[in-house]
Amino acid sequence: MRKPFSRGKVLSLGVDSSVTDDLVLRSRQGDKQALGDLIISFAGMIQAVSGRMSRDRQLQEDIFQEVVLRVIRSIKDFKGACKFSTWLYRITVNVTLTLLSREGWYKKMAGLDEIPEHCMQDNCHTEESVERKRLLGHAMMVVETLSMENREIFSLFYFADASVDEIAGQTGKSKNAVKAILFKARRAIAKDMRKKGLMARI
Amino acid sequence: MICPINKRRIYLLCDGLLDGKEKAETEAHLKTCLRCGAVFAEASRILALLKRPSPSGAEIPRTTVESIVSRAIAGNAVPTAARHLQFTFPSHARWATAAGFVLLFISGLFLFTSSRNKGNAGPAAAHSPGNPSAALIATSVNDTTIWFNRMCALRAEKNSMVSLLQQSARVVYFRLSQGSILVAAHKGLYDTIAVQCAAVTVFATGTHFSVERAGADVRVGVAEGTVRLVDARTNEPMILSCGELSVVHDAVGPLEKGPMPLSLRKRLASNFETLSPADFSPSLASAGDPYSHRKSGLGEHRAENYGFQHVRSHIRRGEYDSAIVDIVNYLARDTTDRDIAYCDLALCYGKIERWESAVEAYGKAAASTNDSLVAEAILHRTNSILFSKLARSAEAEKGIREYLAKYPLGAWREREYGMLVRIQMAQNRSAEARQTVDRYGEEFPASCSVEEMRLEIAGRSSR
Repeated sequence: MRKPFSRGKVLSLGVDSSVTDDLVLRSRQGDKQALGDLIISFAGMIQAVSGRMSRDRQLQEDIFQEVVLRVIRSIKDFKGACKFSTWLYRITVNVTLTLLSREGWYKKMAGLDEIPEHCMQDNCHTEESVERKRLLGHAMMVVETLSMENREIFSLFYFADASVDEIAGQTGKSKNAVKAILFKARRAIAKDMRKKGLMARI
Repeated sequence: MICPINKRRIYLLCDGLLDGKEKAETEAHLKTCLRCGAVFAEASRILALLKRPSPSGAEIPRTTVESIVSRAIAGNAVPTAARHLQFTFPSHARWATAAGFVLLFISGLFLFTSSRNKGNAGPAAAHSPGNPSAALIATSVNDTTIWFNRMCALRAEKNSMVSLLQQSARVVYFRLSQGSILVAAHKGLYDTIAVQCAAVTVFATGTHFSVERAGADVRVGVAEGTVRLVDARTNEPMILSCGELSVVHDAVGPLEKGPMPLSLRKRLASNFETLSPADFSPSLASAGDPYSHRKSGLGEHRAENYGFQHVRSHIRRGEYDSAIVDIVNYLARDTTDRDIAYCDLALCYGKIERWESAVEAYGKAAASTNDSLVAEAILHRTNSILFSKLARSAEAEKGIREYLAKYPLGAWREREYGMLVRIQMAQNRSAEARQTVDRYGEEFPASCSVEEMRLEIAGRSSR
């Protein structure tokens, strides 16, 4: 039996929570140095989430910058109702979805022909086969048909490793509702893959 | 048969979201039901696709992360939309942005140069936090030449896409995504210039080479010196020498090389001619710190006194007479930064083909500068003008000999040798020419010009 993926992996990136709390507090008080340190300490998490979704280094840099800008803009509004990392997940996922959607990224990824050269020939991505990218592109095109809220839930669960509890707490939905959304999205992807004859290639 | 377990449970099990009794029931059922087992296998495969970790090595370099954060906090972030322009649609706004990017790109290069030269202590200095990242995309509408330090040049041909990937104290990396580029990499500035294109990375120092992306193939040609090709798929290196061409197939096949067709060689030679230091106007430096001018890019901070920007804008518009008037006025009233002014003056005179005046201005620039790099460039430039524009061979030869004696690691030694051989051949001093070629060959064994020169000398002697 396949073991389920562990939860909370991204949360434990070696960022001590008391240190984070202190940095968050100082950042909210306008300490730029603390804000910089805070963002850099979570850079790995931002990259992990955006990297899984985009599979592209250059786009990842754009996403990273956009996330940083949003954090800088709204750190003062962060009231500490949830963990900083949870708040950052949502920002990262939303920014990534927005940028990917704006670029029509998954459509390009599924087609591949239109993908700019730099995205395909990056040495950093040699382990990621072209076929994998194509399949992921197809899967993500299905996800793009979901509502923004459902897309966010899907991405938080599958790409940001957030738990159902965390997602429910963040989105104000019940745990069952979150599970139902995840199931429907997964089923839709499977259906689409079967229809396109891609299932055997996964 | 109707299964007691619905698909939802199977997917939840797959996602690790079932526990207790439900989990045990579902697992037991999967062992007996082939149909549900197949659904579970399908769900697992899709999960594996979605959850596949981001590719290893895809992390943004630490320096870039720090640079993005510090820029964003300082309010200088590059707009995300602009970072990702693809330049495939020729709208005016995009071309305007493209032009801006080229300027930013060039600024990045100069900033890099500054940091490289400041970081003489070693690579660690260049990797220190705050080192500016220059991962900006440059593209060209028409042929675009980008000068590094005004000594190394990279020409992106029409519809090419080039980006500055990475910079360190020792290496500057470019990526060619489409089209072709010519790189004139002079010695002594960067240790290595690397161009990544598809599966191949070309490493070069002090050479002239071209990289062309033609469909799935990458063509690397060397016009001067040698380059090292590294196949990213196998990490296998290959040395490519002057006059050789390697066509690397994107997906298959090992690295192979062969002689460069004569037509391509001629084309490269003529293209590199336009990248030659004949177009070079020396960059300028203050005394004591030969690279200080690059800290703000081309010495604007020193040159503000005589309206550097103003003069430059005249030059860019081709208004050389106006530029000359401004510079001469400055020289008449001011005693600082005269080397900058004289070099610009020489440049303007050269543009309007007043070569005598240009040589005179370079002479005064040489007398007023304390920077050896600038002095070297001025001497080479003067020799070039004396030899090719004024045909004052005796003076040119004297200057060339001075250059060869004074700058044993000079950036233009090959060209100086070339000029000296031509002077000697023109004066029927075949024996001396042969000696010069021998010296040239000893110093630059990889140069493809050596054999050509020997043949030419032999041909002349027999006539």
